[in-house]
Amino acid sequence: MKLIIVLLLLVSINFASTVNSYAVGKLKSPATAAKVRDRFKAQGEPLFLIHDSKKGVSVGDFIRFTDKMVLIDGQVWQTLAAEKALSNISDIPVTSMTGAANSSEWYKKSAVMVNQNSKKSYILGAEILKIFEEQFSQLPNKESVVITFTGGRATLLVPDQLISTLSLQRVVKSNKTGQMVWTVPPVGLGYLDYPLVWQAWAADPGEPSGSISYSLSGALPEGVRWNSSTHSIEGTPKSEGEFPLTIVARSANQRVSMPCTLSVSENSAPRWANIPDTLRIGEDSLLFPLIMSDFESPARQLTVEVSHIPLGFNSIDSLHHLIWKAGDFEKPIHDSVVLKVFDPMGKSTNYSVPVYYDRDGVDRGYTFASLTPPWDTLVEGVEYSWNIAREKEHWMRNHLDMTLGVCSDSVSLEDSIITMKPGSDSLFTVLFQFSDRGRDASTYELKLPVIRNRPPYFKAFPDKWDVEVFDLVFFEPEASDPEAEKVTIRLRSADSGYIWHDGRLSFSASSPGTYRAFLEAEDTFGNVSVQQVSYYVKQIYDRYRGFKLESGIWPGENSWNPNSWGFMNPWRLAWDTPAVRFGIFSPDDCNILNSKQFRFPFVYVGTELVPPHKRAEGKSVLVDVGATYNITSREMHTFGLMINVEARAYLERLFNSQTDFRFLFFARHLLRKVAVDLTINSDGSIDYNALKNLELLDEFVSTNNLNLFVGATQWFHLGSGFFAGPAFEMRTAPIAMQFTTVVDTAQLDSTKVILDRSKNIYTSFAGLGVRYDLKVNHFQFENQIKFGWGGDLYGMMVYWDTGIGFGRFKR
Amino acid sequence: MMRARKPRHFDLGEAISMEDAISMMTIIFVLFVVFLVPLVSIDKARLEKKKVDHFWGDLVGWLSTDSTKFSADAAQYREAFEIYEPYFLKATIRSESSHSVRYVESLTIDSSLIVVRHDLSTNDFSQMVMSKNGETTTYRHGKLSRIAGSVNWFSSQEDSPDYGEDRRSKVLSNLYRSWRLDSLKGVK
Repeated sequence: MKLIIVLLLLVSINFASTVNSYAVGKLKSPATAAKVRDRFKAQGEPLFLIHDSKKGVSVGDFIRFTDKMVLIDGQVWQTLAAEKALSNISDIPVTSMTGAANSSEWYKKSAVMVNQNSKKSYILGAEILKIFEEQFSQLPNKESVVITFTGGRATLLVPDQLISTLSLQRVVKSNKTGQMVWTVPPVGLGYLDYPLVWQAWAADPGEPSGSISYSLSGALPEGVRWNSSTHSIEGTPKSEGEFPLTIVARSANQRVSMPCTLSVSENSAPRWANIPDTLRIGEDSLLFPLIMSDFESPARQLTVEVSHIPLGFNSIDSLHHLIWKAGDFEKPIHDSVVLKVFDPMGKSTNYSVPVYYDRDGVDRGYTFASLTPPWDTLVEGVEYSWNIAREKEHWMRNHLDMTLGVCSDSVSLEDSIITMKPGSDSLFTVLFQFSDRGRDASTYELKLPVIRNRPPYFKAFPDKWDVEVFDLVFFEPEASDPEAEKVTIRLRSADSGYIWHDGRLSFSASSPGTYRAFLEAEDTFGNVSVQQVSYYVKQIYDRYRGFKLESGIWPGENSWNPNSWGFMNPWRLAWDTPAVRFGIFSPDDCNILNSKQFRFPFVYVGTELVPPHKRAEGKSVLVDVGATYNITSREMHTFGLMINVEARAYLERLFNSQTDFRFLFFARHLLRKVAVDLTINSDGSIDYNALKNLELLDEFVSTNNLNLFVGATQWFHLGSGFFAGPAFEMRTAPIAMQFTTVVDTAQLDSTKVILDRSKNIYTSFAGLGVRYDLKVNHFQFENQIKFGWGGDLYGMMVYWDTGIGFGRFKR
Repeated sequence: MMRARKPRHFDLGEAISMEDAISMMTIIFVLFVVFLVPLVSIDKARLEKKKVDHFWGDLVGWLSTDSTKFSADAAQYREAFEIYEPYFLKATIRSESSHSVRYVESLTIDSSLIVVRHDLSTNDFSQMVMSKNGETTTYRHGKLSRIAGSVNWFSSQEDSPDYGEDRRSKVLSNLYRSWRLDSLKGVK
């Protein structure tokens, strides 16, 4: 059995401030363990407490025996090495990963790990970091957190100091915890035939990052695709050009968009800009700067590999200098320098330059090697001033006069200042002509690569995408220029609602929709970049809060007899708020034509089951529960239940109006009852007068004397019926729809109860009509009229529903 | 009538003399020495002498005088070898004349010298972590890789450290040493 080699051991030095963890290793060979034990005059098996498992056993670690603990220092380490104990320590099955405390960095690292354990460890670490980032808005500093899993239980060991300093900011699904923002810069450049990977990342303070979804609109270059599972743009571009894209990130509550442009161009090969025809050397030492350039990358990112240098060139350092420290060569040397320059993408160019060395030669080219301008690359359109006063002083000491020869355009020399302003992206040439005491000595041609003047880029994005009607939002664009030129930002075009003033864009709109504006930034060279700003304007989803009286009239197929009006509410009086709803509405009597009725209205209470932020989006679900109790005759009572479920949505694409989907369910239980009077006499006999009190009930029904009714009578359920039906209604402006159906199973044969039907009746209505809502100050009027087919006798019907409310519209 | 007050008698008891007290203390001290001293273990561990190679100490001293703190090109190895302040004091990149091998030389606040040898042809690396004057030296080996589009290197290490017995560790130690000796020849 494999020995238990390693366990995670906690050595708590001071729990109030820190928790230190050590990996523990054992010696694989018992013989070696015995030797180590002897050397240290100790008891038991040595355990190695290693604080850095990557580094291995080192100074500051411990050896723990049964009877003593040894701190490892130089002597102890050498002793262990002499006993070959170090290489005998078992593999430490602890994976230790370190990186910047940033979950995205850990994800990136996990992507490049070859070792599966390392890959998984980085993902685990990234997830733990995300907990701190998303739940606590801060990261621990100099603290350890340990989780131990044992037999289905987990133990978390956290120093008090850490817990007390962490501020808990739970992720609550709410849109009020902060604006969603992009955490990555926009996708910018891609190169033809080079792999391109760009991953979209946005952060919503109110949502875990895993719940954010991303989408891309716009055409991608050939060979590149949008990977929705990793929300990445990836692939190898096969076509050049500018590709305008819009990437949208959505969380449950928010949405943020990033309009950007992917530019794909060919990656040009790097160049040796100041390559001499021949490297002529006439001195014992020389420092020749290699000026390498690349259109896409700054010179500092280029690397040079030398495959051959002549004897005497003993070093080419990382600063790209050819260093010549020649010995005493008697004869002239003809050789060459062969090198290769690489750009960061790996593209390279080979160069071979002849070298000629003659110590006694009169070529004094060495004196010009110190002519190193402060720039390794120039940018077109930018003016450069180069002070060569020190160089001139040096030449004067060597009796040299310098004048400028035939150079590129826009080069001038005045008072030791060379002014250069390259006009195009080519090689810029400055020719120095030297004369030695009146005699032409030499020329030195300085060539500097000129790269394209790049356009400015926008740095700021609107921090919100969704706004509501009449919201006033501001956006202050920011733009920078890669060449640090002055940038002017102006408005190119905009939809209505935008105002551009004093470098700031303000926006407000009165109707829903998407509104776009295009800003342009221009640098002094004339390059222009465009930024699209767009706002999506949402309707305001206010809720009515106040009293409301509604009435529905269903003349029905039985003409205008009120008793044949439909089972829908003849009237309803309600107090509606988003949180609490209660009210009363008239009961339905199932078309019972008895005039002696005592009918309680339905009393109901309700609420919205949808969280407030959904309500703000115009979505909600309302549930009302109500009941009624009716005495419709002395023998029949009804107990009714109603459940009203309403789903509300804002169907802007269909109607641009609030739409209610109502599902109303009635269940009414008809109780046939007989009043019974029980009297216990003095001899123990009981009088049972079942029908006597029926008269009393009649009296009660007519006088509403409830106390007498309750105190004197026992009720038995002798029969029942059932009346139930769903009603579906869609109400929006300008269309109203309704579909209801009812089944009535009441079958009562009491002589006191007159029913106009004695078998199951199915009633339904399907109608379509128009609706009109009017909101004036605190008043709300609703009207809808539906024409349809149905009713008890199934014929053409008209249903008119109207309501008036007094209250306020509030969210 | 006045009565003459009877004078009180004070009894000092049986006191021990100073000589007796000193005798007893001497006996206790002797017993202490006889019985207590053997409790202290005199069986010490047999340790090797520290092997100090002054070349490394001199090299650390020389490197610490270099004015460059973190060279710009060392940034590309920052993530791979966790070269961060304040633990690291310096990090610079040197290249062999063939330009196929780079050395990342770094010093830490506890004067440890950490050298990474990066073979550009295979992207293999060997790392040497040496505490003061070479008292302890451990090695790690592995691969370096780059994410497409990034200039930064990431390291993927082998599972176990090495204590100088791996061939690659010896190669790193010897090659770096000889290369450093050569490069320092001209330095005064």
